[in-house]
Amino acid sequence: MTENRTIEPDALNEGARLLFDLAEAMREQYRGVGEDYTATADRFAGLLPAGSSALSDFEKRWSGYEYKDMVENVTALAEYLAVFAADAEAVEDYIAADFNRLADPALFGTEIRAAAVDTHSAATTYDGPR
Amino acid sequence: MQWSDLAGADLAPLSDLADKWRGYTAHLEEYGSVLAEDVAKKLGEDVFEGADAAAARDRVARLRAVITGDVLERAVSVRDGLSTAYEALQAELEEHAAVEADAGDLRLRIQNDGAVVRIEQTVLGTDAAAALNQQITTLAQRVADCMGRFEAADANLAHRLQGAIEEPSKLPLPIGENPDIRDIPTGPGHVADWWAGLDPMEQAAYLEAFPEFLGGLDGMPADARNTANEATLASEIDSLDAEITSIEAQLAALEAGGDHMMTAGRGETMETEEYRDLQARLEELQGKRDDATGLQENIETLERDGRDVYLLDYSLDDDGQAVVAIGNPDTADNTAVHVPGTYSELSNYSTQLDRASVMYKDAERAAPGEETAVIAWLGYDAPDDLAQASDPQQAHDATGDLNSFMNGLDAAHQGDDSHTTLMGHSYGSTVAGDTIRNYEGVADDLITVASPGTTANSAEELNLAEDHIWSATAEGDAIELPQDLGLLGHDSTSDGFGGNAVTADAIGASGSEIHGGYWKDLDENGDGVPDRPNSARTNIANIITGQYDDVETVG
Repeated sequence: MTENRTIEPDALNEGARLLFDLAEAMREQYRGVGEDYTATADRFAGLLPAGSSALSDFEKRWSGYEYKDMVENVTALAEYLAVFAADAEAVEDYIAADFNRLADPALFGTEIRAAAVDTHSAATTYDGPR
Repeated sequence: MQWSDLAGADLAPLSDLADKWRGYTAHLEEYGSVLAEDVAKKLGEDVFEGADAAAARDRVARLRAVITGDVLERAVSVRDGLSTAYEALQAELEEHAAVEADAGDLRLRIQNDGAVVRIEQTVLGTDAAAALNQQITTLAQRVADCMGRFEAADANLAHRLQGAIEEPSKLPLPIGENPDIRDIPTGPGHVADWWAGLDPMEQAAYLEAFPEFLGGLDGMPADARNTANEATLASEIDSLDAEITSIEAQLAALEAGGDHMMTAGRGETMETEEYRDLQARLEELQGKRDDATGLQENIETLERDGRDVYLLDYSLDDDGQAVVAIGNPDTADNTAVHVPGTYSELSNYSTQLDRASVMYKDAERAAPGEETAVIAWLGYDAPDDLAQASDPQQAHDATGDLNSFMNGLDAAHQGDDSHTTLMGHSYGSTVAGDTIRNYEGVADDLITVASPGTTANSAEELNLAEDHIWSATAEGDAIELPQDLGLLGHDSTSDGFGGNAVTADAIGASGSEIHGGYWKDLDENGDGVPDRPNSARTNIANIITGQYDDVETVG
């Protein structure tokens, strides 16, 4: 199945940048919540009612909540858009199989991803299609 | 927890953490806003078009919905739980201090277990002793109440905090992550709900990962099952081709080297065991390949004729099986499921598709304004001979799968319920009848065509009202003998059975031809030109489309 489609790389790149920024903000929050729980548990030491079931082992009450899933989800979507944008100039007609190729985690680890995105920066430094 | 545990406790860190959670929930709302406003604007149809673009937009919308829905709700629960718990627990710490102060004023001491005792054992007068005892009792009650409320607030907070950890995330599977087959639920209703809750990217990931499993999973939508089964069928054909090529090469090599023959004694030769085994394997594979490509070709033929066709299930094992729908059962107003009978197998499945196609066209004519789907359900091992056809066991074995399939149709249907008819021809009517006899809510109507029996002795044994049970047998049909024998239940067209016997024309020169003539046209004046459909067809179309008043009954 081949379908013609419009792909504006610049718009997709901007969308990808927003998502990378969002993922980075989430990652910071994720760390922040964990640190707050640890700090709370530390502060509770010696201050707690000894038999409390809720307040003892308080640091174990934080399992990362869902921040980790959110970060992974948003990052993967950003990468997906960035890869699409990177290929847009060379490939105008996508077939359905391209979706799976682009969504292949192995691909995300290759030079295509490296060329497409700079994951070390909160705001991507990706400058548009190759 | 003991009374002394509350002494000196400081819950200020809890209050501070509750404040932090207020910040977290605000951030979650911001995330939703970024996704809904900023990101979505960059992915409009004017800049990103096509199925993948639509899937990306759906993913953005799904993330926003989950983050500002389920994730936020649970964060709010933690935030409020912390705030509420802090206030409740702090109140009890204050009560603890007040009780201790009152006890001190009365020269009383509260022990760890909550018991209140006198500090000084001076001798008191009767009245003074009674008054002090009353004060001790009151104080002990305050201690017990305070501890009880503290423990309840503590347990409530523990529950809130644990709930946020234990609930599984409703966030979608990240792109590129391999889905887990253990996340797929069982039962058609659960399957339909699960699938509807996935976004297109997740659905694509599951179909890519588990096409063989999902293609036959009842409760999955017809288009997804079709996608999965078409992919699996094409893959199986490729594998069969590769194996056939390999075996042909092995046979050729044996022949070229003269290694395919051996001496059998007295100067005679015979094929080697290896050669014979390879030939047998080749024949088996070629048979499967013919079945598989035949199924593909039959579907393509229907599609070329403009039909909307869905491969809902298939198997190349043993005699082969297939379940194909003409028309989309997920959107159809009327759905008929036809179960074929003895001798049915994948190699002759085209006959069933032809009959389904005839019934589809008849239904379209009967109710032109309605959408109909007709399904040829060869989802069981049909009898291979008359001896097997005299035994209800293969029907019994099929009822669970057929019931599950029917439930799956119901679960996957969009909008209002479809009017559903289960019908069977010959031994297929035994399968259909036995399913209706054993399960409730399978279908709205049952039609048996040339039935040797439904395994029931009367309509009362079937889980349907009598006016929704229909039977057709043409005069002279070869099935009349088995009907008389009653090996598979009483003849459903007989007067004593109940239900409705409907008219059917006898088309064919022999009992066996008449048995297969229900989907043919009738040449009434013998001029070689068909004049009208078999009346059984007209009746079937009217029942399928719920036009009961137009059904022509016998007598």
